Amino acid sequence: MTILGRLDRWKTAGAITELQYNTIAPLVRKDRFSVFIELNALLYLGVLSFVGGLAWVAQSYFATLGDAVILSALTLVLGVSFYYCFSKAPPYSSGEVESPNLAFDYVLYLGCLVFGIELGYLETRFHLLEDYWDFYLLFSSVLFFVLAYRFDNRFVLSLGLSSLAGWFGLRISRIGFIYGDSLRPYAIAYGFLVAGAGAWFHTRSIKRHFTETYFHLAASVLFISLVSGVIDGRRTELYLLGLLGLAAVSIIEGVRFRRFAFVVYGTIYSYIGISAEVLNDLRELTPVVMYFVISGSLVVLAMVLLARRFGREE
Amino acid sequence: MRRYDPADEERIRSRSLVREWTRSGLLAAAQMAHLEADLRVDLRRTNLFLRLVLFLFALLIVAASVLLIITLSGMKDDENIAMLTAIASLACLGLAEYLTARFRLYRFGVEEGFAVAAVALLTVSAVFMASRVRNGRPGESQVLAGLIVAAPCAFAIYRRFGYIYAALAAIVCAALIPFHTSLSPEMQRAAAAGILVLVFATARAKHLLHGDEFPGDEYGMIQAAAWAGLYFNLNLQISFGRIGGWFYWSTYALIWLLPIIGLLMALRDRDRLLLDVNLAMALVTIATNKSYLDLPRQPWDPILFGVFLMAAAIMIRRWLSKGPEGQRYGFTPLSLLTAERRALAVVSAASAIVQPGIPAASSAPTKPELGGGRSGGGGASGSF
Repeated sequence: MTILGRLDRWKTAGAITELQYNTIAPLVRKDRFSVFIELNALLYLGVLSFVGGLAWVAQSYFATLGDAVILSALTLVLGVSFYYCFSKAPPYSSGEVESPNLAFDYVLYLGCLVFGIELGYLETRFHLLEDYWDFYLLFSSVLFFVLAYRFDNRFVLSLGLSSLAGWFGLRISRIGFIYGDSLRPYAIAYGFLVAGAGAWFHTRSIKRHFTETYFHLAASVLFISLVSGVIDGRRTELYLLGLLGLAAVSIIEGVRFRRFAFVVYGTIYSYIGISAEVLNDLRELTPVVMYFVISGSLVVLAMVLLARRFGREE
Repeated sequence: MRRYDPADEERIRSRSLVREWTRSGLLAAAQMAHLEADLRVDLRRTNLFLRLVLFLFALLIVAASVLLIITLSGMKDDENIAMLTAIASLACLGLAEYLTARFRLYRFGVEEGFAVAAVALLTVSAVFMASRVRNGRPGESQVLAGLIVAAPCAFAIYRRFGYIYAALAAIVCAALIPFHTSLSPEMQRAAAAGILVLVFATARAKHLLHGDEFPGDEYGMIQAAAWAGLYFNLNLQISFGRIGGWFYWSTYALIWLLPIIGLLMALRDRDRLLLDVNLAMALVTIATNKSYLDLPRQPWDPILFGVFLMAAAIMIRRWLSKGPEGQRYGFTPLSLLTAERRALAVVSAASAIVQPGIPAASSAPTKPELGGGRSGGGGASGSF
């Protein structure tokens, strides 16, 4: 039976109202078709491309155009963006706030990215902070957090989180086990700070829809740091203990709040960590593959039980 | 042929829609419970994340088990390994069948892992068998044999279990076959395009027949994938083709034509996947136009491109909004279901790892160093 046939049957049986039928059936028939996602994608790509171009022009033509022209142009874009956002924004609310229009979020994002370029340009050309230039990142991240909360903008929140990571010396855009011994404590501190901030805002009911962004980022950074510590760190046992503890928390809380992505984090990262530790002393191929057969089977068994008990719903 | 009852597949899809309508506030929670009772299926399922873990670990177990047998038996001969992997492939297929029949698993991960492993092992078997053949470039006949086996096997897995990614893998393998033959580069591309057009035409005919409901939704995905593959094959700037002459300019014409034709089809049918694929194709065409014409790239190109995209989005939104009831021809810029907002939330959260970087210095003789950029800051950490 087709879904339209089912809707008809449900309407006749009184399971749905006439009004509900008249709202849903056009969606199924595609009499109403939303291009919301496509328009957002165009705006997002447009902003990224525009900002990338601005940076490229500034980089290529600062000698020809002069600092004044470049800074004026960047300041103009920045000023117009922020003026637009402050003049059009609805009042602050700690709950989720609908954007006044489709472009609003992207104008703010554009302004923030241009702000970053302008700071980078100022420091590169005039060396205002010199050795302390990374405080620009801290300052930027604070500003981005304030703007993200004021205007309820997840793009700017992500920008703030990645700028803060930059201040800690981390590079979020790189995937892999990148944190060396010297950087690892900073990565762990960053992870706990982000998780703590997310939890703090959540408990105070401030922009609760941001919470998952904090936790996903914190979990990724913490797990990667701890696994890299297990693989090549000096205090392997300590990192392994931390990894197992974090994995346990991630799996338990993931199941409790039905956020199964955290169950995946906990399972995969702890498996990598344990495997690295176990396989470290094995030199022959046979026990290595035997380890994978046995350990893999145990994980599958555990996951099947978990799926049957908690993860049935699609 | 299909392991699952089509009625169950329909119910599963309807159930997902009912949930989406409830999340979007179109139905009440109590109504959802009532409607779901009408859509109950006797299949065991799990959520996407646990499915992914189960899938990966099932693959790991199979790979380790086969390797264990090889190491324990001291097998070194290619023929024996080919025989072993072929037998293991059959065993995996049997396991996948058993799990779906005995435990009624549906997209549970484990049975998927075994089914996919069956294809992979048979492909490995073909590769080892073909290692006896010595002609052409080293390894060429093995890759060709692997692709020739993988394409129909992956498609068979799709037909049997309905895994759409298996169908997509089959398309990719089939389209790669000509590239491992002795055909000229032009003929290789043309043959691959022919295969993809055939897949597209077949899938489209079936998609038009069934619409968006099962199995039409699957054909819609295959159709879009074949269309995207066709474009990728023909755009020589993104698929690393070193071909000149008339063929080069034919592909240049086609990379403009394909998105236009595709957009028209997608808009007429209101086919979201095809629409998104063709939008992406159109953007790639614009982005690779200068490379195609061998024109120098200018620093302001991305600015113009960005302004064009933003202006296009805003103008389309305005035009649609000014229509009666905020829509034109049924198209609306408004979000109708929460799935759209959820997708946007995921993209915005993931944007932390996709911040625009600053291109490497091209003509900056007095470029001062900032000691390397860091993440975030919208490029504030880059060096000019």
